[in-house]
Amino acid sequence: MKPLKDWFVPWLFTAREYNTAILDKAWAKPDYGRLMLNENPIPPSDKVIQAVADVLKKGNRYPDSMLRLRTKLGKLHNVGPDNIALCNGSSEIIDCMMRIFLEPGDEFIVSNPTFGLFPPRAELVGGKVVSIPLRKEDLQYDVDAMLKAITPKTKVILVINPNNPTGIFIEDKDLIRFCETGIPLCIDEAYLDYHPEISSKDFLLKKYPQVFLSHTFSKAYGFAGIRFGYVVGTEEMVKAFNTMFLPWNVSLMSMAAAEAILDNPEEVAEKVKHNNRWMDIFTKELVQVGLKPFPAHGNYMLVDATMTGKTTAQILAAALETEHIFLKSIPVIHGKDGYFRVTPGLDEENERFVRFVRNYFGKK
Amino acid sequence: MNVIDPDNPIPKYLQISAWIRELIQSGRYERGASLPSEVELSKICQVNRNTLRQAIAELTAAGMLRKEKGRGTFVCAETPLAVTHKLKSISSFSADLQELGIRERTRIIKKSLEGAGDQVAKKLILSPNGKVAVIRRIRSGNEVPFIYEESYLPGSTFRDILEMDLTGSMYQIINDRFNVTLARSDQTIRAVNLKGRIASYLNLPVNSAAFFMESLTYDENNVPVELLYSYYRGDKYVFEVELGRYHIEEDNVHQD
Ligand SMILES: Cc1ncc(COP(=O)(O)O)c(C=O)c1O
Repeated sequence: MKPLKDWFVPWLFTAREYNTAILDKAWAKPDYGRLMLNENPIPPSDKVIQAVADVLKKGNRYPDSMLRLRTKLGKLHNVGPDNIALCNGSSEIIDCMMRIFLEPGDEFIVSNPTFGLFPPRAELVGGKVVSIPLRKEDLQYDVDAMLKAITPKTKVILVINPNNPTGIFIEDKDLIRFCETGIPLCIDEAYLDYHPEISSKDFLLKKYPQVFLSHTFSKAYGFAGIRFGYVVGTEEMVKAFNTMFLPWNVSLMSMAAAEAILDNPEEVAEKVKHNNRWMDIFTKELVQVGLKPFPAHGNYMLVDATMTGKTTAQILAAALETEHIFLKSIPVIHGKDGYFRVTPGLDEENERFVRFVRNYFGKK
Repeated sequence: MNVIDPDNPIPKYLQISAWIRELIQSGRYERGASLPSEVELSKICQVNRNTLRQAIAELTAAGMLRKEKGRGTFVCAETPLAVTHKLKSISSFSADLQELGIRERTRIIKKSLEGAGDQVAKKLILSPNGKVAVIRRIRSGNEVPFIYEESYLPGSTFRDILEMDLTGSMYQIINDRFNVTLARSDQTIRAVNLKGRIASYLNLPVNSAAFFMESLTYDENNVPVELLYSYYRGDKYVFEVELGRYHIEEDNVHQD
């Protein structure tokens, strides 16, 4: 009999892995600071919990198409309910966009580094990931190089704005160069809600129907475990996503939670305030000891500590050991080891991080 | 059709004159039109000619009819002025009146930013603590009040409308100043008897008949942008609907 593995599609073995082992470690050590995951440290409000509890009583029913919720989300982007597709966190968009645009052998253009879930999801449909390094001097998207990498096989391009892991915004004129190619473009705005003063790129959709936005409530809204996200696009684009998404992909509870927090924008504003306050403190502290934090605009900060001679692995181990905090490992960028990423946690965890920075990197 | 209700204690001639009066008021007999002959009318009403003459005499005395020797009976009352509103596309009171060549006057009773309340929030898909711009107006033509209306607009988008001149078409303002295209409207019309405050706005005795219309208007994105409650005077307004052709088509059988 043929061994089971021979039945599997070949890309099941060749696709790179998105490793979530750190989650098991973190859940196993609840008193450790989880500063590595771009989560929101503040739990959902009582209003959200109540809304979920209320709808749970109707949990025996299949949900409808949630016109009200889609209308409310559409209002955030000056579009209508039919321009919004709901999903279980934006990871579902990442997976679905590959299935919508890529046939085996087609190419997906992405920067390097990027959010680690994109490459495996492209590879799991037999797609080819074309990774273009960020510019050496400022870690911005290398737009020229990305455009040069376009071939007839290029079927979708990704821009995360602000980018992960750098936290840097792309300029409109650069973004428009991608739009002008006519190739489907995903603009992932996962972290944009931390900067309500910066507008969403939703205004591009009218002129460029091949563009779509990916949004999540996992970050500023603090729903990483509740799971909720949405696509913004033309009606044609949204239909494609809804065709590819499973019917009833989002649970009644997630949608009730989403509507409750949309109705209570102060909850998000508070979470954003907490985050941004600590982002400022972290920046000051890191600069103080001679490190180079990137001007980050999400709930995470890429830190260049390559000048200290310490490797990323050493830094992470020391933080875990001395202060019981998890930091995010960043692979070597342009041949240099010693980058890491940090996300603000609760006050007390952040104080531990600050102490770690002072003790580990500060002058002895 | 029976004009006379034998069980009605009101005298027959008064029942007949009420019937003719309604025909004139509703515009089915216009000024200058001739009534059918007395013979025909008495047949229709199934009364003798004396009773019929009594009814006509009543209306002649009231100045609604005029008898001309040898020629017949003519309507001399003015058909009451009525505004026709076509239920076809979204149109404003201003436009309805323009059609008639009547000058519009709009009086603002109250305008303010208010909490939406459950029902309005639900209809406009706002959060329960959302704000709405509320505008209460009386719309008159030639000094006669025709409509009392309450308009609810999402405050986040339309709060500035409260500072604008609202004595004309609000739809024009929504379109021109807010760049919102009014794409479609869901309307329901019901008969109501007017209560004190609204009856007095419309210069009518309490309990007068009126149409109550609820309109929920959507923009191009299918987002509700205005909830409008309107009270149209029952004696002054005509709604006109054009219907398509009758056809029998079974709905597709529903599949689970
Ligand atoms: C850029 C980016 N997009 C999408 C996601 C996916 O998040 P979720 O599936 O929780 O919405 C993340 C998570 O870290 C991210 O960084």
